[in-house]
Amino acid sequence: MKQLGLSRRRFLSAMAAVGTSSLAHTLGRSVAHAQDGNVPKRLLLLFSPHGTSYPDWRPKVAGGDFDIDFPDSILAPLAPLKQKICVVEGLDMLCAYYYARSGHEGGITSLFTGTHRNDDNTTDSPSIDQAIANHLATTASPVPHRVLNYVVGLDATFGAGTSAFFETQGNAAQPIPCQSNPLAEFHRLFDGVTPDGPTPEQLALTARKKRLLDLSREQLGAIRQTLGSFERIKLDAHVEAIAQLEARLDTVVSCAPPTGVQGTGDPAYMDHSTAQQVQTTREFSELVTQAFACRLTHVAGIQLGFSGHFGTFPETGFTGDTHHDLAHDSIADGVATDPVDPQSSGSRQAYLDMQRVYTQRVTDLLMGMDAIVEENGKTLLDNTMVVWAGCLGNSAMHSNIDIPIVLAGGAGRVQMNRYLQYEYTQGNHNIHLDGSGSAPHNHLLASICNVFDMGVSGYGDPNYSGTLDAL
Amino acid sequence: MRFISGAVLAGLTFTAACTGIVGDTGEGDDAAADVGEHRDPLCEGAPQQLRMLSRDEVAASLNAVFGVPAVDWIGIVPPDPPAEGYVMATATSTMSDERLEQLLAVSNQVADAVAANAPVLAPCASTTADAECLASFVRDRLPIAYRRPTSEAEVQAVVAVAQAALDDGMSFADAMGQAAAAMSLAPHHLYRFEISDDDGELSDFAIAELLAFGLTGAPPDEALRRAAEQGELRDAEVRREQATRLIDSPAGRARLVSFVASWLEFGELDHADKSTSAYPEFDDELRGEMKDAALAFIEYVLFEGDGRLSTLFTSPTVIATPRLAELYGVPQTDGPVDVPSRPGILTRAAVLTAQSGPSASSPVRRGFLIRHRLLCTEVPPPPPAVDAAIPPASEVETTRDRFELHLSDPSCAACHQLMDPLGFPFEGFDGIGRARSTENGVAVDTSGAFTHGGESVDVADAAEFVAQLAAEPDLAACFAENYRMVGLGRPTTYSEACVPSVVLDTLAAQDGRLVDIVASWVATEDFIRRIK
Repeated sequence: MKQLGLSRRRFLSAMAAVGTSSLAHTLGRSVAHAQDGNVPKRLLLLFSPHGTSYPDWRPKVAGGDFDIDFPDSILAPLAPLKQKICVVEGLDMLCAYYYARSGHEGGITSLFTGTHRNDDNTTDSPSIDQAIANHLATTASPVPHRVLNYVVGLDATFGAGTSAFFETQGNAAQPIPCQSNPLAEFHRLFDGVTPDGPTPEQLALTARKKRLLDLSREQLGAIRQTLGSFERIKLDAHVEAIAQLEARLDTVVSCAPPTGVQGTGDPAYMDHSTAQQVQTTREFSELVTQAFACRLTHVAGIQLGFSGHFGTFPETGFTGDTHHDLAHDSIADGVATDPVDPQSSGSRQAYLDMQRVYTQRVTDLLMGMDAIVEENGKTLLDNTMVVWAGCLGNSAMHSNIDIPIVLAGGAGRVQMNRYLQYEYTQGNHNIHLDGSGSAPHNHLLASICNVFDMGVSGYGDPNYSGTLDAL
Repeated sequence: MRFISGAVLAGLTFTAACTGIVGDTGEGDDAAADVGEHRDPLCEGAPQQLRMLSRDEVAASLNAVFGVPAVDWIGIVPPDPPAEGYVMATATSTMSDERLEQLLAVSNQVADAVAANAPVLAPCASTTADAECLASFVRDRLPIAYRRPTSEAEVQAVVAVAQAALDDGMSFADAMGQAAAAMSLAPHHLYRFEISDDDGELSDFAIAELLAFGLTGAPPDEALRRAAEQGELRDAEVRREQATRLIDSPAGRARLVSFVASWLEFGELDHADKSTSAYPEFDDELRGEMKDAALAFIEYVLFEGDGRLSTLFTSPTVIATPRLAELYGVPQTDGPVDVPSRPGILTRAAVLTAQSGPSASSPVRRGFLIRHRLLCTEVPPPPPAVDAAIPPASEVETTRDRFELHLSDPSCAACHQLMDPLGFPFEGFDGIGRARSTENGVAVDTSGAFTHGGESVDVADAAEFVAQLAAEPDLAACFAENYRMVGLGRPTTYSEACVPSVVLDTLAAQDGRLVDIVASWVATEDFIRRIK
């Protein structure tokens, strides 16, 4: 049983996350100061599995510029957005290795939390989407939804290490049960949201919902009278949840809901082996884009699969098991090396096709965001800090070093159109747990927090505090 | 969440304080261990708690209350993450705005479903659809939703919501739907109230829901509600009879099989990652067959065989699908067949595959499962900054050679001697549970030792090992402790350390059927007492 309150280790970790921001807040830094005009900064985290093939992922450098549009380039679909991305190579998840928690489960857990996976699948720090969302809840313009967390192609059964997003509950961070059903999410976010405000029917529905919540609150009051202070924390949490939900129901958003979320009406959205995941990715992309544009939330995270995802990719024509047949078998020493029949196991071509499908899905999402011009004259993409990363570097070795990362947008704070190359560690045997000769990915997480003015000096594992100077 | 094992606690100072209680229970064969009468301050027992229903429990409850299909609401609420590898209503879950919003959406769907079925559900003819008819509907259903008798004031509070809907101009059917939504969203419906009376005991109704949700995953059925109303459930023998009845229902059988599977960490099989070059024959179909066959074996032992825990770990009965029979190298038969080389559940592909790496077996993982999960011994995590790299497969001949380093390096051996020797006897099975006598042309070494509680017995292979394991009383105690943890939704704490060791020793001493171990716990004072 974990002790109540923070252990020293957890306390340090929490402090690393909080840094000086709470001090700045009490000094009365204005909300508007942290924003670019009246347009808020947004955060979007994207996860995709299967590691990479370095020569095909790594941009080519020539004449002081970098190029991602060459034959076999995994990042080629992003070429039209080159001005708005920043490729980051060579960051290592040392925090996973420090506690011998590497591999699939360790990698996806450490990626956005900057700490290692505990035995019970919890972590010592939340993922940065949660930390930043909590920060924005008190510093940015109010929104009905603190953060949106989605997963594509997983029935959310929570085998060890399938979630990239963690939320603090008690004194540990628990994996978040991400929504996998776009249609349910569409109704949750956009029922009652129209360009002209809610219809009379929607207002009546809202009134009925509030009546139910009112009764719940009364019933909780009666229970509290009976129980006194016993289980007060749980009862208070329930009352607080009612208050938050009521505030959400009271927030009238006049905005256009997305039009492309059809859902399927059957559990196919959980099927990780059909074309459904293409549709699901597109629908979640549209939901997040419009939720940002409509000011329904400032923070979102989407998992495009999970670590070890064995879905198929109809776009590639490859019908085998993508994880084992491609990610394991077609990569050696970080290089896709098996130029055989594109339909066979271990096919280099199929591996590259698969990775380009992920890039294409991310590109489609970013292009959608880039098509929306906001009040400050910049696009929604420009106003958003996007972090797209994987859990593995070299997939065949299942190592969590040299993880492939692409930043986009920059939220007006991070310079884009760059290629940042940190030392290529190349193999587990080259890892230095003291951090020498290697760039811990914690530094990136801390710098992303600081894009949102959190003023931290580190994030997650205190062994690897620090920020990325280049950001 | 971590739980403290009885085995570990037995070594702590509490043991002395417990000795008196053990003596007070007489011969030690009395299942209803009297832990309430002579309570030592150090041995307090489980605390009172409010417990939020899990998603699946809410679904089962709504089905019981309104008898309507739960529509698509499962898609609205994500499943609860497992705690300690079990899906359970935990004592620590609290309501979040996200969860409440999901439950509000569910209650909307319930409203629609009830409205659509109003002609069937209404306790009156459509010609007499009035406020009293609404009240009658609520009066009928509310005690099922709240799992206890309800007051007229509670009924009228729900009726008021429906009346307001009528006043808004909604139809009678829709107003019934609003009443149903109010019942489904009520805290009395969403929480289990494990609150004790002045004597420190749960009410009959709290006992009924503890039994029903624990044993069947659903709220109390009519027979259990009747027993609660008649005040019978504080009688240990009545509880035992009810438990036996519930376990033998289809839902009860499925739930006990599922519990055993979770204890054995079958969930890890779902995401077990296998290299296609090492195991080209492994695919999702085979993965599914492994799991189904292992579940069928557990159910067979529990409900067709003698039901004993020791049998679960030693029985050679195999129920194999065609591909699994091929993997095992045994002829495919329709029914159960004895395969002496596959004694017990630990030698089945489901367990062996889940507790292996992507391209090799893992004596560490197999040993850890046995030491930590099956014998409830705490194994410390790897120390920080340890060099966890083991020699690459290319530099050694067998898997065992790779892991021998753990035992030769003193910094590793301290912990790995807890695990690796328990895993070595299973080296006769590869990473997907196929029998092997050689690896890379070298004979595999299946010798190991069953070390536990300061004793060590050398074993030559898996068969000898599981015979030792099955005879170990801590195996049954650990099963019971895990069962108790899931039943209470919370790990054992130090303040109740003595209670489980008394109860568990009593249960373990039965060397009985799993069903009896469960029913015997239900019959203890520990099951119905809560500390204020």
